[in-house]
Amino acid sequence: MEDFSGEWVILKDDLIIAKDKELKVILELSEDYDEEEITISKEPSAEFCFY
Amino acid sequence: MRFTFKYQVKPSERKLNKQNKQELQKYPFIPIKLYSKTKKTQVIEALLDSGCDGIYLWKSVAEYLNLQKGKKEKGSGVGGISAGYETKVGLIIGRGGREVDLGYVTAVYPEVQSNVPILLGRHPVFEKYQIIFEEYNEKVILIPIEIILGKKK
Repeated sequence: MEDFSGEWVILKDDLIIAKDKELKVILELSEDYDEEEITISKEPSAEFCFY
Repeated sequence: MRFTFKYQVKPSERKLNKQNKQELQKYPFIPIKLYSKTKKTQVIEALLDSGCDGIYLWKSVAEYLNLQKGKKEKGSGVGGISAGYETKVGLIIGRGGREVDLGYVTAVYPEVQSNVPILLGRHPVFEKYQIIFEEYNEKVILIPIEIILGKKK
């Protein structure tokens, strides 16, 4: 299974369709989609998170 | 508007079936949109974080939305102490027609980006909503404070 640790992703219908460490790249890519068509999220970097 | 958001598994696990998801770590992600005078983001999942004083953005969001760079501040977290900047950003909670626009709110973004998600801390969201983390039910409920105060009269 591909490792997405720490990456920003674009989700469409629960499927990751784009990923990048830089949120800027994801924000720009997201402009290609209609509003509400996708969701931007972040894969945690580790199994246990302290925020 | 009252919201109920189910906890979500991390993005790479979303496509797994319900049974496989049962034992996985889940997070109180809240769908938000951020905006400025000139631009608006798509839906972003922010982590609802009661330990965070306010809204923590990524520097990239501030640059993307061309947000004003305000007062420099010192912030502390698990990773240590770091510098950041205060700004104002438009915040919408929710999606799919069930949304509330909170208008322009104060947020901070770091001088040097660290590897945390966008955080929805206590100001202003926890001031405007009673927030119930039902960890056992894997969901979080946001009830407008007007409803709570109205009920107590």
